[in-house]
Amino acid sequence: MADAALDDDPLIEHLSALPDPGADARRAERTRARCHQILARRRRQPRAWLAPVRTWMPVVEAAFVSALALLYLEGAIQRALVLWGH
Amino acid sequence: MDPEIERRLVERLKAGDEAAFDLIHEAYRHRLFAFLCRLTRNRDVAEDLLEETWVRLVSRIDTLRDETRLGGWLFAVARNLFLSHQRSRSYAAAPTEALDPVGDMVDPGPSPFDTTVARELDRRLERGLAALPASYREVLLLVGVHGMTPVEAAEVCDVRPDALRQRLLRARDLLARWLRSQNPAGQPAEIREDRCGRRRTR
Repeated sequence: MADAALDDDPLIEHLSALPDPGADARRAERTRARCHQILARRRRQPRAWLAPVRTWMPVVEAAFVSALALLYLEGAIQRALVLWGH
Repeated sequence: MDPEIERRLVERLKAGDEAAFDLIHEAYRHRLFAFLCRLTRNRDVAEDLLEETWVRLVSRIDTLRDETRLGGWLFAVARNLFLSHQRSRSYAAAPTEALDPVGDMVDPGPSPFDTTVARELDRRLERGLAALPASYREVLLLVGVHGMTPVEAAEVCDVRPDALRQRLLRARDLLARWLRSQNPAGQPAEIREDRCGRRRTR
């Protein structure tokens, strides 16, 4: 409803025709240079080798925890068998 | 900007491609500056916030999801920076004359009379926008000046589309009232809402 009411609104239409205030070109160039530096730093710090580590780390963690749990269970069963005299 | 082109540019930017940054910078810098300039009512502050917006883009590009629209994301960052800036200072209203883009324009009309009338209307609109509370000003800027749909503007402002539509209608109403109430001497009035939501112009 609001969209339809505003579609042909002359005031909104006139707002869209307002001239843009011009930005400072030298400041824009400085900003661009600063962002280029940040991007260059990103490239110099290759983090690609971390990607497979990040992918496999949860799997390795889960396997390690499972192995510990199995060891504990095995010990518990052995202890139980000794107590029951087998 | 076409969403597919935008997605590729973001991919290149994630890889640290400076040319991709330049394309994005050129596509959005004027619009972002105009938005911030009218939102802050101060060119210097707008320049500072604009620079910070671009730095956020290159620093946090990894957080951008594939489906995120870059334009909306940039406007949202710029808006959030403005809100942080507003919170961090006691925000004194700058004189609206600080922003007068019309003065630097080349002749846009077919006759000197038309030009004068158009410029005068532009100036009144700029003053009216500057007199609005920031929450109303931003929706008029996003939808009216920058041509976003209410849904896109709602994403930028982090509100529901219905809420934004309501705010937009109220903002438009406030601006129209301000323009009607403006005295011939052209002194900008401050538009406020009292506790009951009634609008007062003074």
